[in-house]
Amino acid sequence: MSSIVFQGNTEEQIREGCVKGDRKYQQMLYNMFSSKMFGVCLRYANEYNSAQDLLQEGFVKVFKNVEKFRGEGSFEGWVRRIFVNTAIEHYRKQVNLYALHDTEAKGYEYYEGNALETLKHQDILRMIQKLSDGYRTVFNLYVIEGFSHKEIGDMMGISEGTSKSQLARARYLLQKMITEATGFVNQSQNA
Amino acid sequence: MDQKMKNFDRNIEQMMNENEVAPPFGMWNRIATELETGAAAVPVSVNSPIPQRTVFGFVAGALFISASLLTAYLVNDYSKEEKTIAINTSVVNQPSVSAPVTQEMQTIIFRDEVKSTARISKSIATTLPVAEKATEAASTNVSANTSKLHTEVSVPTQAIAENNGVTEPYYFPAIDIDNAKKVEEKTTASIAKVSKATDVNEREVSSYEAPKIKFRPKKHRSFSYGRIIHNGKRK
Repeated sequence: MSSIVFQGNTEEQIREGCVKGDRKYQQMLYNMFSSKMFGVCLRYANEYNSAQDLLQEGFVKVFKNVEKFRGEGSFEGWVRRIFVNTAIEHYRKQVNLYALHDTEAKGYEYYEGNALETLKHQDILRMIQKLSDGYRTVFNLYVIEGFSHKEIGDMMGISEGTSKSQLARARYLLQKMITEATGFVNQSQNA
Repeated sequence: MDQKMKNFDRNIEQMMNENEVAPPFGMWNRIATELETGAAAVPVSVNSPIPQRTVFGFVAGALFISASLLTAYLVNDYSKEEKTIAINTSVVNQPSVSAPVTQEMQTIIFRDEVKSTARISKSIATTLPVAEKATEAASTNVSANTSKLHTEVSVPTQAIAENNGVTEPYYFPAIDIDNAKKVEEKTTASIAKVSKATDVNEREVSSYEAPKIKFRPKKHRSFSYGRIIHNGKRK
């Protein structure tokens, strides 16, 4: 197992320093993961300031619980999971999810991938942030984090069907925003 | 359709994971400050086994139960107070078994001893369920009273005689031996007359306007037997 070296210190050394509460090693850990984790926070938050709050809360959790990391899997994955859980907990109280009817979830047209190529990362991120808390959280958990609907239902306290319908609605709204932004029209409709 | 959907998801996933966003300047200072001040109560609250809602629920439930118990105790105490007072008033107002005794006790103060004892014995006799027992009790009481009367008559005379005999010459009146029998006969006769005139005495008692005693319940919570109101005036 190759160890990541950051500023002349291995990941294990940084982790051990964080366990001891050494501020220098804590800052190293922050510098290692802050950019990646802030991207995660921005996806789950609906605005920039909320993402900052999530980042702060997540790193405090990481420093408080770093000794609980048992070396199973990558340390980055463990840190990421803490941030995702923090975001879910943060929005769980606000999110009022409900199952949509199947008729609403069906009949969506999915556009070809080239529509996205015209957009930048920032544009997509802004569109995701425009989604409501429930849609955004389910979309992030399923599409980007790769959780199943059952896992999402357990994490958010909703049923599997609700997770599915929320995801379908999120996809639909996201594609609608992409269409409005790019003017890309579905090929099947033109044909 | 599914393939299009998967492609859409994959494209967004790649776009989101490939790009990193640098946090704003000063973010580390915020985190370090929070770590130093120890205000990071978030992990504690997240990891605590009992959620805050449950704790609040327990506290609210305990308060509610204690309040209801206190209310029940107070209501019970108040009803007990009312019950005792009701018993007292029944004793005064109802002309039942115990009522004559209290009335007789009051009349003892205003009547002479002979009448009162006779009246008490009469009242006891009336309260006994069996007539024979009542008569027996009455006769025993009467005999006891006669002996009591006899001693009451003779003892002061002897005492006076003993006291005065030393210092002053005292004339002892001539006492006939049969006089004791005569006195006894007289007393029995007088008691018989008294017992005959019991109805008359009772009428006197009933006609006599004894001071009315009422018990008024106290409204406040502390226990008491109430206040005695004598002829409408508090004592």
